[in-house]
Amino acid sequence: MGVQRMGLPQGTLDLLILRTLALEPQHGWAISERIQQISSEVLRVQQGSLYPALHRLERRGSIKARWGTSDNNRRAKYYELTKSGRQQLEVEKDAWEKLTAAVAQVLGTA
Amino acid sequence: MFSDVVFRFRGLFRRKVIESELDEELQFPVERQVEKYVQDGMSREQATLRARIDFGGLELAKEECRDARGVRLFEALLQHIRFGLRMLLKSPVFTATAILALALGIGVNTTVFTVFDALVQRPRSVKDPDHLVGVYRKAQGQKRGAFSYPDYIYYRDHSQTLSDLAMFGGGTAVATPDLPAVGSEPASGVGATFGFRLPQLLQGSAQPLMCFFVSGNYFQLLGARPAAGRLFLPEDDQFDASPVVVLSGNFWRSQFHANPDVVGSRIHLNRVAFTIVGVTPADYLGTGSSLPVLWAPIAAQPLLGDGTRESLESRDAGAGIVYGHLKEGVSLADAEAELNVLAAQLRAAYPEIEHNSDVWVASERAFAHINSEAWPIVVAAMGAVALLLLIACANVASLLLARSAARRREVGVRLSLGASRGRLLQQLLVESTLIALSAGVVGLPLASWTLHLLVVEISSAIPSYWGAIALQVAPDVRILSYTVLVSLLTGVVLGLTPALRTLRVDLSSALKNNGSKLGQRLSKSQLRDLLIVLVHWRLCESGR
Repeated sequence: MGVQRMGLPQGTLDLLILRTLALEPQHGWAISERIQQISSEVLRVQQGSLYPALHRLERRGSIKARWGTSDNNRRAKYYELTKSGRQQLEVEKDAWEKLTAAVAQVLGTA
Repeated sequence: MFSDVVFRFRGLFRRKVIESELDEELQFPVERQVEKYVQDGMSREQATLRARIDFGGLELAKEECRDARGVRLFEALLQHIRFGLRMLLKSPVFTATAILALALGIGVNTTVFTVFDALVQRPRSVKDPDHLVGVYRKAQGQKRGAFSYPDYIYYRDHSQTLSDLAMFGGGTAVATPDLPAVGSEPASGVGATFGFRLPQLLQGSAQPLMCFFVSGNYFQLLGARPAAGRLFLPEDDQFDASPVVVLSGNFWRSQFHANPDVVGSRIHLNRVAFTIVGVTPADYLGTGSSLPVLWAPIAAQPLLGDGTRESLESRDAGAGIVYGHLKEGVSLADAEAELNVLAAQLRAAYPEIEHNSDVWVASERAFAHINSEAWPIVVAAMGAVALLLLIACANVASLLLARSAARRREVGVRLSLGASRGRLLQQLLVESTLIALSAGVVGLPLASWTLHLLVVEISSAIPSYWGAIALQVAPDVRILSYTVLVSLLTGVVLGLTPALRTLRVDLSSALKNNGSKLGQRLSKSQLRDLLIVLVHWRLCESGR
């Protein structure tokens, strides 16, 4: 949906956002850039679906927002991980690893 | 959870700020992307175009952000309420009729619930009502037998499971020659309400007054505080103690204008001079269900002409009901087992007294316990008033249905303009709920008026020597939430059928406003059939 080069399974966008924000507080544009960079240009998150996801996470209390100044001296909204967001990241990372391992196992034996 | 609500409300009330923040936030990545493309060597025009395409639909993204913030639910609800109020005000006669019909139903329901609540659920206003128990004797054919005074003293002095035992000896009417006539109050109560005077059953100066007899530790056990003076102490409840009485707060106010000098003065009862030592708070019931005028120690019973000292000291005569407090960690069954051991000891010591049968212990948390025999009656009473509300619902629903014919065109237009049926259903349900909630607002004072009439005014017409009925029926949060809940439920029940019918609309005929077709549809109404069945059933019921 939001990714052009490769389809993201449902729910992974939240996980990617949380993981990216675990490094440092970022604004939306930088989050998608970072995901793109780290994934060696494979994953590309469309801004149009990134922002609703950010607002949803903010409502759930996983991240919080504050206005700051960007590197090119413009006002931008920075998101950072909250305590419960950090916990959520751990839980979801764990679940994801279990899922991928299980899928790989099935694919390997079948 | 709480922060979620705060978050949503911020979105609701600071909408302008949120909207401009959203604009600014979504503008930023587009500009940033343009810069990046320009750095990569694109022309500014080309870069702007690419960045816009990359981003996807800006308005769509905004809408999704608003959804994600959870603002829209509230917004839609507010919109529905605003529109619903406009629609209801547009047809005031319909609205008033519907509200009045439902208000009657809701009012009656609230009345019955309040009485039920006061009888069964509301704890007595005594110290630690959860541990208050009544001890009864299982006499032949009697569930709640009384104990003799000496037996009570034996239980009181030997029980280990109850922290204290007090006796409530019932009441008697005593004559007093030296009080102003009680019946001379101005017409009030039911008489005033209905415009006639109820006959006073007794006139004259020798006015009998209702007097309740209690053991000396009774008020201590219940944790009662005096409104003036003091309440009884164990030493007052002796045959050789000087005669004392306590006035009820209500009598103190109506007869003595709450004058504190009354405490310490003398009153002649049954030709014996009693000292008034104190006054209970107004509406103080103790463990009773009616208000006395006076309280006297059980040992004063013979002085007031209620039996003799011999009969009070006899183990053969029932003197009263016994109340106690369960000690910490003691169950009803524990207490009952222990008291039955004591009963067996009494049986062995006085084999000639056949009254010393087994005892049972029951919680006295509220005025009444509903046993298995009484439940069907309670359920039937609640069911009858629920049915009454249902009939009111059916009547108003048929009104709504008639109106829905007129609203078909409006619904048709909104549907063809792209409104979803779910949204329209919400709208119609909000309207019926608004009607029901307004009915609740009207019904609540109606209920408290009915209760006032039932409990306060009728009981004030009863001569004072009978004692006054006293139920705590003041509306509280629980009653209020019951009414709100019933109103909300009524709104949904009431609105669902007409709303679903309204929405089953054939677009082309609705837009042409084809009246004759609507008439045919209505004549097939299943709801009307249901109504007829209900009304017939109700008629049969009341005819019985």
